[in-house]
Amino acid sequence: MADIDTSSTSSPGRLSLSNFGVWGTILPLASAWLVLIAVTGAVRSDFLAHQTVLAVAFTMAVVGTLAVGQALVAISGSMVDLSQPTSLILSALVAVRLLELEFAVTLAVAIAVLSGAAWGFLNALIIVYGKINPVIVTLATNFIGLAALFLVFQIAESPINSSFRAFGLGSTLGIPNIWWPMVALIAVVGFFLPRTRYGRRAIAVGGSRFAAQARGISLPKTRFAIFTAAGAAAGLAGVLFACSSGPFTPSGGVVYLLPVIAAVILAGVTLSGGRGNLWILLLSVGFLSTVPTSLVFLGLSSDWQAIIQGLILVVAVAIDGYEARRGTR
Amino acid sequence: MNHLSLRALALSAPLALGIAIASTGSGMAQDTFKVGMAVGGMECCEWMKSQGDVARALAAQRGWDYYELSNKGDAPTALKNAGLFIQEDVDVVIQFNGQPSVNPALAQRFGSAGVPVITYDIAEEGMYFVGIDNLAAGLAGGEALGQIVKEKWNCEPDLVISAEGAGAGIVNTWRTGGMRDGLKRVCPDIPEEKWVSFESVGQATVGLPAARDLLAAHPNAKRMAVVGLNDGGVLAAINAAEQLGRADEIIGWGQDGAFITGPNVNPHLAGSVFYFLEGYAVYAFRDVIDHIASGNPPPVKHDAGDPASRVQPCPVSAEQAQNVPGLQERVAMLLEAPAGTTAYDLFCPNK
Amino acid sequence: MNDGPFVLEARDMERMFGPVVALAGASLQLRRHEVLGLVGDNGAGKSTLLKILSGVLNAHAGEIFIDGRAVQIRRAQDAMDAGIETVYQDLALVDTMTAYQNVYLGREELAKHWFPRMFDMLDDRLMRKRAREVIDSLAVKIPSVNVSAKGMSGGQRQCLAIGRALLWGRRIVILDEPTAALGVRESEQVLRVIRELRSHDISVIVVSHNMQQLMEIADRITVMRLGRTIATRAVNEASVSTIVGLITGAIPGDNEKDYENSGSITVPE
Repeated sequence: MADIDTSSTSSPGRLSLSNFGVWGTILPLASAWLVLIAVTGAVRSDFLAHQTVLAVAFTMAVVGTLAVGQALVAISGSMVDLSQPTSLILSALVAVRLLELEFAVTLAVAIAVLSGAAWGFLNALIIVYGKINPVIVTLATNFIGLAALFLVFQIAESPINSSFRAFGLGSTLGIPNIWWPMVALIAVVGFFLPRTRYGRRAIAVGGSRFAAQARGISLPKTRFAIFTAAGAAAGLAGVLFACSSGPFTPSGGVVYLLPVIAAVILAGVTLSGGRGNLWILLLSVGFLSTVPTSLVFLGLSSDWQAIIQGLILVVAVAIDGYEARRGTR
Repeated sequence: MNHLSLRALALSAPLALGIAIASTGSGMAQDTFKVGMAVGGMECCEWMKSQGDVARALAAQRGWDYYELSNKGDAPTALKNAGLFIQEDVDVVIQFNGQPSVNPALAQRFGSAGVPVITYDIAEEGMYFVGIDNLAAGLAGGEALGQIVKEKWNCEPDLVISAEGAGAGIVNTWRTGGMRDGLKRVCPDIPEEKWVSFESVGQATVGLPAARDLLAAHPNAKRMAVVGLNDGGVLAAINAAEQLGRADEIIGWGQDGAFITGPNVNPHLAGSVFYFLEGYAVYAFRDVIDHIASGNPPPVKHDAGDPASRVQPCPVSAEQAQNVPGLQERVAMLLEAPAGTTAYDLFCPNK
Repeated sequence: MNDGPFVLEARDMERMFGPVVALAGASLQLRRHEVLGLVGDNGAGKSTLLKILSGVLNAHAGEIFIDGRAVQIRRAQDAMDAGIETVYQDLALVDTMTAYQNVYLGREELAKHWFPRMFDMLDDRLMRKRAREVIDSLAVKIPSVNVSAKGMSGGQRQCLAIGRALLWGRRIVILDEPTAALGVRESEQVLRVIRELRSHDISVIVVSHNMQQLMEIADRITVMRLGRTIATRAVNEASVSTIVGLITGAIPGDNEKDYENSGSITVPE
C-alpha cells in the first residue's frame, strides 16, 4: 500500500500495527489457504484438479459479491447488513420474473440489481429518519422482507433453457462465468473506496462518526450512499445466484449471512468500522470457500463441516474483538 | 387477549355457517357433528390451504359443522387453537402441525378433554395417524429409478448419491433410505463404495454447495443416480453436476413431486413420487371420522408403520407427470368424485 | 487596530436544554490577531457557546457577526465556510486514518486531471505535501504524515488538530481545553504553537481552566458565569486572582452590581 511508511514509527511501545496491517492480514490468510490446499492435496492428490477450482469458484462468486456489500457497510461504521438474505432473493426473484416475461437479459439484470439498490435505499431511509441502529433496522427489515417474499412466491427458478442460465452454468478460461463479475466488483470497489472523496468520507464516518460530522461530513448522505451501493452489490449477487442455481425459496439466502460476515472479518474489515481493504476479500472468500470442499475431500461428515466453519467464524470474531480492544491496526 | 378474541371471531363465522347447514339438514334432534381442522397455515404452501378446503367440503357434504383454524406454523398458536376447539366442544379434530414439538402437549390436552385427534404425517401417541407411508414412497421411487439404472447402465452406475435432509428425522430415513433400498431391489450388486451422500436440507440452492463439493471429490464419476428426501434435494445434486459440467449422465428421482410438473422441469429429473397432500381429508373421513360420527370409533392407531389410514404414494415419471392436473384442478375433481375416492385413485398413472 | 470591526462577534446568545438555561445572553468580541481566553466554572456555558460558534448546536436567540456582517451558523459546514475552525477537546480525529487524511478530512483535494477527477478521485500527493508543510510550520514535530492518528502522542494529536485548523481556518480558530490531556512538556509545546498562530494571521479563542497558562498566552480574557458573559479584562491589566474572583462571583461582573454582596453560592445547612 502506498500509504504505508514503515520508517515512520513515532516512538517505541507505540509501534502501530497499521505500519504492516495489510500484510499482517494478508500473510496469515494466504498461508492458511495454502496450507489447507497443500494438506488436502497431500491426502488426496485429485484435490488439485479443475473440478475443485470450479467447485470453489462457484462458492466464491455469490459469497464474494455479497461480501463487498457487507464490507462497505462495516467500513462505514454500520456494523452489518443483516437484510442481505432478503436483497439477494428479491433481486433473484425480480430477474427470474422478468425473464419469464421475456425481458431482454441485460434489462432484466439491470432492473434486478436496481431492486437490490432500492432495498438498500429503503434500509437507509429507516436508519436515517428513524434514527435507529442499522443492525436493528436490517434485522427487522430482513424479517419483514422474508415474510413479504413468502407472500409473493414459494419457488422460483430461472428458465432452464435460457441464455441467462447458460451463462450461469458456463465457464470462461476454465473458471465459472459468475466468478468474474465478483472479482471485477472487488477490484473496482477496492480500488475506488480508499482513493475517492466519497470513499474516504465513508471510511472516516466508520472510523469516527463524531469526528467526521465535526468536519462537516454528512452522516445521512454517507448512509444512503453506502446502503444503496451495498444493496446493489447484493442485487448483483442475487443475479449471479439466480443464473447459476436451481429452484430457490424465499429463505434461500439465509445460509449466506454467516460465511459472508466471516469473510469480511477475516479480511481485516473490523466490524467497528473505519478500516479494511476490500482486495483482501478475495483471499478470505477463497479460503472460506475452500474449507468445505477440503473437508469433503478429507472425508469429514457434514456435521464436522458445520463445526469447523462455526469455529472459523468464532476465531474471526475473536480476532476482530481483540483488534478492536487493542485499538491497533 | 387480543389474539384470543380474534380467533373467537374466526370461530364464530364457520359456526354461523354450520348452523345454516344444520337447519337445512335432516332436522335431527341432537347436536350436529362438529369437525375441527387446524391447518398448517404456513405461507409457503398452497397445499396446506387445500387440505382445509377439501376437509371443509367433505364436512359440508355430510351436513356437519366445520371449524377451521390456522396453526400458522407456530407452536403456541397450535396450543391456543387446541383450547378453542375444546371450548367449542368439537367431536373430532384434524391436526396438521408444522411444529411437532408441541404434539405431545396437544395429545395430552385433547386426550383429557376426550376429543379424538387425527394427525397428518407426523405420528404422535394417542392420535390417529393418517399419512403417507414414507417408506413405501421411498421404496417405490427407488425401484422406479432402479429400472432406469438397469436399462441404461446395466446396474453399473459410477455413483449413487443420496440427498439427505437430516432435519426431517425419521421421514428422511424412510424416504431417502427407502429409495436406496428400492434401488437395491432392482440392482442388488452396486458396490458399497459407490453409495455417497450429502446434506441437502431438502432445498435445491441450500444443498447446492455440499453437492458440488461431493461431486468434485468424486471427479471420475460420470454415470450418477440421485435419490433423496425430496425433489429439491435431488435437484441440488443435479444442479451441482450442471455447474461442474458433468450433467450428461446424471439421473435423479425425487419425492413429493414439487418440481416434476410445470414448464420448467429439469431434464435430469426422471421422476418423482406424488403424495397428493391436498387429498388427505378423504382418507381421514373415510377411515376414521365417518366411523366416529356413526358411533363406532376405530381403535387409535398412532404408528406410521401401522396407521389408521395409509395414504398411497404414487411414483410418476417426468413424462407422466405432465399429464397430472394441477393442484386447484385436482381439488375440484376430488370433490366431484364419489365418496371415498382418493386422489391416488383419480390421478395416479401407475396404480 | 483594536477599533475596527471585530473579526467575530456574538451578541446575546441564548440556548436552553429543556428547562435548563445554558446560555442566558452571552456576548463576546474577538479582535483581529488576538488570543482571547474564555473562562468560567463548570456549567457556566463555555461549551455551549463554543458549540454554537462552531455550528454543532443551534442558538435559540442571538446574532453572530463575522467582520461586522451577520452570518447564520446552522451546521458545522457553515462555521467552516465562515472561516471558523474548532479544535475540540476530543480533537475530532479519526484514529484509523493517517495524519494527512485527518488534516484534509471533509476538505479533500480532488485530482487535477479530468479523468481521475471524473471518478471523484483524490490527489493524495498534494494533500501529503501540504499537510507536511503546515505541520512543519508548527513547533511540535510529527515524524510522518502517513502514520495513523492512533499512534500519536497527545501533543502530536493536539498539534495535528491545530495544524488542520491552521490550514483551513484562515480567520478564526477556537481551541477547547487544548492542554487538558497533556503533560507539562507537551503543554509547553502546544502553548508555543498557539502563541505563534498570531503570526499566521489568525485570531484565536481558547477555552481553558488553567489561568496560569491563559495569562501567558492570551491578550484578553472573557469570563462567563451562569450562562452570561459577565466581564472581559485585558491580561496586562488583571491578575489571576481578579479573574478567579470574577469566575466564582467573589468579584461582581461589569453589569451585575446587584450581586455585589452575594459572593459565592453557599450551601444551607
